[in-house]
Amino acid sequence: MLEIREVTKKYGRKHVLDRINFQIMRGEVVGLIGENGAGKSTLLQILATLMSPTSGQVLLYQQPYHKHIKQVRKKIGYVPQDIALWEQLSVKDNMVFFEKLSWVNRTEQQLKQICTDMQLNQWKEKVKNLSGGMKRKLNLAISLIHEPELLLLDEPTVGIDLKSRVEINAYLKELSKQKGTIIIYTSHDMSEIKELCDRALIIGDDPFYHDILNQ
Amino acid sequence: MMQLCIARLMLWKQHVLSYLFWLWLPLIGTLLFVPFIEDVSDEFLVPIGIVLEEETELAQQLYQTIAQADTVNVEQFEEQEAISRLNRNQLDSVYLIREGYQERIEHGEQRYLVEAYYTEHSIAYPYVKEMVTSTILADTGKVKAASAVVGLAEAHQQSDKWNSDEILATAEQLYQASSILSTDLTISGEDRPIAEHDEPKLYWLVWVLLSTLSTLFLFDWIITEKSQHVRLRFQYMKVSYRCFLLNSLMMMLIILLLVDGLTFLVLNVYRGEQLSILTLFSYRVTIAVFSFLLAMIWKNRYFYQATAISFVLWLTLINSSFKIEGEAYQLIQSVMPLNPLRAFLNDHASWRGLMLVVIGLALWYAKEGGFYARNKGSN
Repeated sequence: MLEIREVTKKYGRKHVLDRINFQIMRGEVVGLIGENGAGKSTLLQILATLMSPTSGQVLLYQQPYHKHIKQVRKKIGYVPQDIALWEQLSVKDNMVFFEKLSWVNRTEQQLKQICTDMQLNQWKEKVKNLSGGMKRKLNLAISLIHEPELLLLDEPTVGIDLKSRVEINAYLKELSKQKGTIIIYTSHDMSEIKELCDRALIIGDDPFYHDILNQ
Repeated sequence: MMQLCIARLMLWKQHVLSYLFWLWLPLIGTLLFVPFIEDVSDEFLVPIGIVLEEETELAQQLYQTIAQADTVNVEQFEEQEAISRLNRNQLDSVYLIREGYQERIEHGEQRYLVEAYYTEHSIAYPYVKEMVTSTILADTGKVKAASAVVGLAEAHQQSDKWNSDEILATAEQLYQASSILSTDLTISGEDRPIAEHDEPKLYWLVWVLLSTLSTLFLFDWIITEKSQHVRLRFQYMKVSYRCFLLNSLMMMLIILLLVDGLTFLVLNVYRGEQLSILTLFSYRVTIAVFSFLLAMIWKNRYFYQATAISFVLWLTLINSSFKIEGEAYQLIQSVMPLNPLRAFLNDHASWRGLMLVVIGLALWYAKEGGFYARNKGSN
């Protein structure tokens, strides 16, 4: 379970997040929505341990972030909005590279299986030759090498074709169901949020998002 | 550790040809370039001919004095052959040291000791003429002095204690001991007199310049890598990005030291260009860590490469014999103690430079640690 308790983030005098509280259960898929500048990315970065809150606490399976940062990070998979891959390496070499530096040991077969499950079959192709959709899939696949318990995705399907988007979303649904992974997902696409997520959290106080979510 | 090395090699193998080129450029470039320069510089020497009609000590000394001049290439011929070559413009000028040269000097004669043939195109004639004149004057002066001493010894009935050869040898020793070059002049900024400086190590000079350039280019992968978003992923890995980079620096250093070891064998043993292994080691570590830190500062690869080339040009300038004056000279003098090439070419380990880059590396490590600490990291 992921618990966010009274989390506040201030930049100078400006409150970006003000006393946020929520809980996410094992296997839940949650969408984060809100207008630009509402604090979605800030919250996601706090959950990803890339930023610390001004006050408040975050706990993952009872472990407070600030006390057990190393253990918490082992359980997190973060998929950044930017493509974080070695462009000159092949799909296989990217997977093997990050496996070498990860906390777990995986065989080449296991690594290939992660890609296959995601319909990413160009195992030996160089990343620079892949389509945007395939790069997004690999971006996600690398974050899954160590089988994280919390998967954070920052607009993972932005700018890709419908087919790749559907395949990624299908995979994520299956992942949460099969392995109980907590998935937190930010997107500007409400239909995608409705389709994929068990529930959505609206960051900010814009009534537009409440209305559209209830439609 | 092994996993880290494998991961790094996976990235390097993409540019293996480029790395091999830069790794071997200094040694291969030096072995090709220096003999070429030596050949070319021989062709720029002015050819002159010497005809030696006697093999006496003073005649040989004069011949050697002319032969040691930097700007001429001296060859010995028979008289007819020399004049024939001069007529065909194959020689700049010809000098005949006639039979009886030494004897005439010992009799105090100074005129018509050497005959010269030259043409209106001869450029070396005035220069060689000066050289010959001063040598003959010095020799006749010494002989006159010796004769005077022997004369005095005879006048005081002590002729059994002294002879001309001993007096000439003593005079030569006094001449060497009071040589102006070994007492008054020093290379700028250094305490050692010019005469005490070693022969210029041309092979090592060319090698060290090429090696500095290639080392800088060998580290430009850092700029490409650190600008990629992939760096973010290291937050969730078992090693931090700074540890990964530090490990990569050590790996590159080991590879460079292996190549340097071979270079040392080839230049030291095969070519006989002496250099201490400690000098080579300290230079290598200094320049590798310096390149690493420089690459960490720059964000643009092309600016980094331009900086690398400028740096090597600057090193070439401050290590060359170009005459620099005024404020620029003062500036260069102030950084001279930190010049790693200067120490290298004098066969000294550059401990000050090494210490500076190690401090720089420690500061970088602490700063990168600050980056992780800000992000609540524990790396």
